[in-house]
Amino acid sequence: MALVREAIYEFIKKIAALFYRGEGFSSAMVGYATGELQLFAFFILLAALFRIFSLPLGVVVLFAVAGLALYLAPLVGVFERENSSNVNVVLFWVALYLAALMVIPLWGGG
Amino acid sequence: MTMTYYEANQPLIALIVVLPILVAIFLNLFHRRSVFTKWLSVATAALLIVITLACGYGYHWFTGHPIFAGFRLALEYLFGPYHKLAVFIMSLILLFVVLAANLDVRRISGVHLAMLMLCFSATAMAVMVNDLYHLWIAVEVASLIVAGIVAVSGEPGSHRAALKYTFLAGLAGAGLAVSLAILLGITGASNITDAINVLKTMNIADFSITMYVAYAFFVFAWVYVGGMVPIHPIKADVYRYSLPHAAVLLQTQAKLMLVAVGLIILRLFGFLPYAREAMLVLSIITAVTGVVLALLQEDFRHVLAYLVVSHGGLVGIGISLGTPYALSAGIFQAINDILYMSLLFLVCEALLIQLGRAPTSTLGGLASQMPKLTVFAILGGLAASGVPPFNGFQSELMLINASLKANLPEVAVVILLVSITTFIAIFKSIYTIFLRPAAQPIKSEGEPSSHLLVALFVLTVICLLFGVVPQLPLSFISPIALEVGLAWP
Repeated sequence: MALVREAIYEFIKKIAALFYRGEGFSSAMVGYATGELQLFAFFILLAALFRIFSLPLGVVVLFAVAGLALYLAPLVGVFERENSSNVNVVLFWVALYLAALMVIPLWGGG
Repeated sequence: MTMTYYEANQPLIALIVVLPILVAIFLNLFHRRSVFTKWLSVATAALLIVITLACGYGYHWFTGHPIFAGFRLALEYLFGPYHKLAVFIMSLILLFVVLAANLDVRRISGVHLAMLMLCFSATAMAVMVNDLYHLWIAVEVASLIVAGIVAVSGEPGSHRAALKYTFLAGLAGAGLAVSLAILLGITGASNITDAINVLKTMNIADFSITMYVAYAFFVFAWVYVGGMVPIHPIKADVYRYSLPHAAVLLQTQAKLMLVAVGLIILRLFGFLPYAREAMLVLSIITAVTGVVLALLQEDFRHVLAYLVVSHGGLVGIGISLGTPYALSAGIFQAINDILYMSLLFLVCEALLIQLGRAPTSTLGGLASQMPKLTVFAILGGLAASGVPPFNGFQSELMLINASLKANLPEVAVVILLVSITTFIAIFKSIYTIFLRPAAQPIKSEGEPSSHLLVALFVLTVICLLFGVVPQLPLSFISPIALEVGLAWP
């Protein structure tokens, strides 16, 4: 039991340390903490929305996303990095986007 | 969209596009004569408001040819109630922008004013055009003008932001051209109404794959003009590295083009299975990504830049749902967004003029020195966060209702999340700039000039008016929403 308590404490400490931006409590920290919660809620909602394409697959996606989001937390740092305006990052997402945009309607349209 | 009840060839419609182009030539020629360029730009912006109000509903055919053998051969502009509202709001914004641009005499430039005029012209083109080829021209011209406006701002990082935006314009413009070529090949018509009429007579199963290719490229152009995911970091750079008054016009341009291109996508591809669902997912991701990134910013301008992106996603949700009610909500959200984001960017302009280029995160306690500006900032923040009785509340409520009617409660929750997070992001900045005690004394020149205060007042009044009497803007928006809207699958 003590080991579990220790592990939970270490996990929370790891998350708190990643939020640390030089001040114990700052407006930046408020932003990052709110952003993290927002992202978690959003990924769950987005996964739930998958039901419009396929209900059984939507359930699987929902659980997979919830598990992944918890495992990979905190998400906001990665999210900020992936939303950089560097052209190489944007082009990567543009390529992925065009592929997804083509695949989803073609698949759905039979 | 047939709009058969408007058939007159209205000459004033053309003037809305042509006048700013002509004035831009003179502003460029006389760019060193600041008094001349100042009065010419202000008079033109005021005249555009009058022209928009005086212009009757109808078509304008550029070569004067009416409909021939069932086909429209000329470049065609359509000016209905929605177009009147959109162009009127944009003319009003242009007047405020030009006044603000002329306030800071250190940066007054005929070239900058000329580009603001061309930005107006290209956006008006995109809003009114009913022709695929002309739409492509409007998107291309607008992209280059946006890059130009950012580049001349002289802000650190502005040239890089302009270059990145132009680079992506090459991709989006080429993609749109491919899409138009496919549509032209399938239908043989460049006029959008004609193309839709031809599509109705064809068996879609024979060419659905080709239509999806055209759709994907068209949606990419939509994403590009509206600054949606995955273009959003570049678009946000455009807003934050341009001068705040220029950002006012740029975000107006982005919202109106988002609606214009979105309506055309809906008309041409709305019947394709899963087309609107894919757009809906993109819009939701944009709405959340923008607002989360806004939370992570320290500078007020950067916060607003990402909020503009996020609220573009809300507009996209309305367009993607595509029902007449959702379309009304989406277009209403676009108009509201233009108004309150303009208000907040003009607050940034006032801070820039009064305090210089100091990052807003280093400010504090300005409420005692600028009480009027503080009140306008708070009211703008409330409107943007969807707090009643302001306009943002009405359109966001309509979007939530539209999502629930489409049996998509998840989307309604996302809209609520975005609304609440917008409040946090904006008021975090407002608290930092105006309300918290300053770490060190800040010297300001007091309240901004009366021109800016009048602009802020007018925008606040319109935000309040559209919130209290939403039927007023909706009476202009509903006809086009009823005409274009489709049932949710």
